[in-house]
Amino acid sequence: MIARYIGIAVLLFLPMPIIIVVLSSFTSAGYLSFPIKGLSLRWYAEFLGSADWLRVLGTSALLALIGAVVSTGACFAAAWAVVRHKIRFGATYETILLAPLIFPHAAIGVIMIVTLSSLGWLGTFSGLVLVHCILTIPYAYRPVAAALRKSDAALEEAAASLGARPWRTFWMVTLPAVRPGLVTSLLFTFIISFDEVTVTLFLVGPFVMTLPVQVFSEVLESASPIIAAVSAALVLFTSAMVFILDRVIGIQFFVERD
Amino acid sequence: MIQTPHIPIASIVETQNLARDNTPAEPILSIDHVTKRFDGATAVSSVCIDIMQGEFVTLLGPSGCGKSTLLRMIAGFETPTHGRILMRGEDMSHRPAYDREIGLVFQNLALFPHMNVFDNVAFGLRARGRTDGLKAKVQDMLALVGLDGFDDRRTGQISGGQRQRVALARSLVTQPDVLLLDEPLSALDLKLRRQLQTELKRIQQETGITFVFVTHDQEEALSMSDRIAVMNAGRVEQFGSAVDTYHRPATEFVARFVGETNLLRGQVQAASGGRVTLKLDNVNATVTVPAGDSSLGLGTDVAISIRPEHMTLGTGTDQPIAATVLSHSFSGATITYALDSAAGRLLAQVPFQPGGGHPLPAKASVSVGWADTAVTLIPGKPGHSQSDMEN
Repeated sequence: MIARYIGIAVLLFLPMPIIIVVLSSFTSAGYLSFPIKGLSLRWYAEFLGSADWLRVLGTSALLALIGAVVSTGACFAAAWAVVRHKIRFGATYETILLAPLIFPHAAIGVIMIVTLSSLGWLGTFSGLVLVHCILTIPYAYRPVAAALRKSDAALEEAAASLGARPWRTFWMVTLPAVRPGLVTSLLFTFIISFDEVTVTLFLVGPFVMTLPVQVFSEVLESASPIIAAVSAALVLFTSAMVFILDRVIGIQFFVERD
Repeated sequence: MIQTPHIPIASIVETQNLARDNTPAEPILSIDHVTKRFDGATAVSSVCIDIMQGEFVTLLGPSGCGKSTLLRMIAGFETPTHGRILMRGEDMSHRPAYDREIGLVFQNLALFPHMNVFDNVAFGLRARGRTDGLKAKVQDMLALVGLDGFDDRRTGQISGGQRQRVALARSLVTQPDVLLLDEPLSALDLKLRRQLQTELKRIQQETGITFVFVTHDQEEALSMSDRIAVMNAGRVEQFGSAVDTYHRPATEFVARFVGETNLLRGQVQAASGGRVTLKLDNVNATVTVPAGDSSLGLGTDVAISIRPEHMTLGTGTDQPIAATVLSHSFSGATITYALDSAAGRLLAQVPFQPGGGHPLPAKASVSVGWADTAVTLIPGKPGHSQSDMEN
C-alpha cells in the first residue's frame, strides 16, 4: 500500500519541473516566478518576435536535421557491414560506435575544442555538425542495427533469385524491412541533437549559437520569462516528436532487445 | 528414370519452354567437379551431377553433408572454389544470382512481409520487367497452387501451408529453368507435409519444371524423386533412381541412411559364375550371394545389406544365422523383430498372418535368412569409417 503511494508520488513528481516551466511561461510579470502573477502570452510573442531567438532556433533545427541524416546514413552503412557482411572485429567496431555514450561529455567538449581549432572549425556551424554527429551516432546505431538484425537476409537472397538487381532489392526489400529502425534513428538523433547543451557549450561562439545553449546563457544573465516560453516550446516540440514516433512505430521498439 | 516433361497446363508455361526440350541429350544443369571450401573446411567435395530437363532430383543427406551449400552455389549465393556449374552447357559459376533463371524456395520461405500475396508472387515478373499480362499470370499461378482469391491477404494472415504455397507460386511464376527447394516442408506437421509432398509432385509434373529438392528425410526423398543424390561429408555417395537408392545402395552410408538395414561384414572366399561366397565375420557361416557389378579379389573385405522386410525367420537350422528374439513391435500388417546374433543386432520385418498365432516371445531361438535377390553386396573401403554418421 505504501509502495503504491510512493509510486504515485514519483509519477506526479517526475513531470513537475515541466509543468512548472510551462505554467510560468504564461506569466504577465517581467521576471521568472512561480506561482505566476497574471496570465499572458507576451513572452511567446516576444520569443517569436525576436530575430535573435528565431535565428538560433533555425540554427538548432538545421543542425539537428543534418546531424540526424548524416548519423543515420553512416550508421546504416556501418550496421550493414557488421550485421550483413559480418566483417572481422565487428563487435569491436560496435563498441567504438557506442563509446560516446559512456564518455564524459565535459571531456568530449575539451577534446573537441582542441580538435576543431586544429581544423579551424571552432565556433563554426560545420564544427557543430561534426560534434553532433559523433554524439548522436550511438543513438542512431542501435535502432538501425536492431532493425537490420531483425530483417532476414534470406529476403534479399529471395529477391535476387527472383531476378531483382541489387538496387531494386535495396529499395523494394531491404529499405522497407528496416524502415522502422531508420525512422526511429532519424527522430531520436534529431531530438538528441536539438536538445544538446553540455558539449555544444564548449564550442559555440559569436557566429554560431544553438537554442538550448542560448537558453542556458540567458538564464545566467537574466531571469526573463522568455526562457520559460522557449523551454515550453522545446518541451512541446520534443513531445510532438515522441508522439509521432509512438504513432508511426510504437514506443515498444525501444524497449525490445535486439 | 528420366521423366518426360508433361504438357504444361495452359498459360503457365509458355511454348518456348517446350521448344527448348528438343535436345534431351544435354543436361539442363551440370554440376561439374564442384568443390567448396570455407576457411579450410571442405563443405562440398568434387561433386558431379547431371540433371535432365523435367526431372525431380533430390539431394538427400544428414545436416552438414553439404547439400545446402551445393544448393546455394547453384542459386548463385556462393561461388565454387573449384569446378563449374553449367546450365544448358553454359558456365554459370560466376554469374550473379539475379542473372540466373533459377528459382529458390527457402527453408523459412522468406516471403516479403510488407507485401500482400499478389505482390509477393508478382515480384519476380516485375523485377524481370515481364509485366505484360502480369495480373493473369499471377492469378493463374495462385490457382495452380490452390490459392485463388488470396491476392490481398497479408503474408502474416495466412496459415503455414498457405505460406508454403505462396513461396512456391512466387518462384514458379517466372518459369525458371530449375527450381531449387531447400527443405521447404521441414517446419510443417506430418499430415500437412504428406499433403504438400503430393501437391509439389503434381505441380512439378504439370509445369514440367526441373526441381532440385533438398531434404534430410529419406522417406520424403523416396516418395517424390525421380533420382536421388545421397550426400555425406561433402561427397555424393550415390546418384540414382529412388528404387536403386533403396534396393541397390552403393555404399554402407547409403544403406544405413536410406531406410533401415542389416549390414553383415565378411571376406570373399570364392567368386564364380556371377556369384561370390563370403565368410561372415563372427558367425560360423558362409553365404553365397549375387556379385552384382563388382569384381572382387579373394580375401577382400565386403559387407552385405539386407532390408528388414527381406529377412526371413525360421525355427530350424536351415538358415545361415542363429539369433534370439529381443523384442518385437506390431504395426498391423507387419511385425518387426529386434534380434540378437553373433553378427550383431538385426532387424527382421515379417508379414503378420491373421490366425497365425502370437508373435514370437522374447528369448525365442530363431534362424535368419533372406531371399537371394534381396541382397546387396557393398565393397568395403579400408579406412572409410562410417562412425561419424552413426553418432
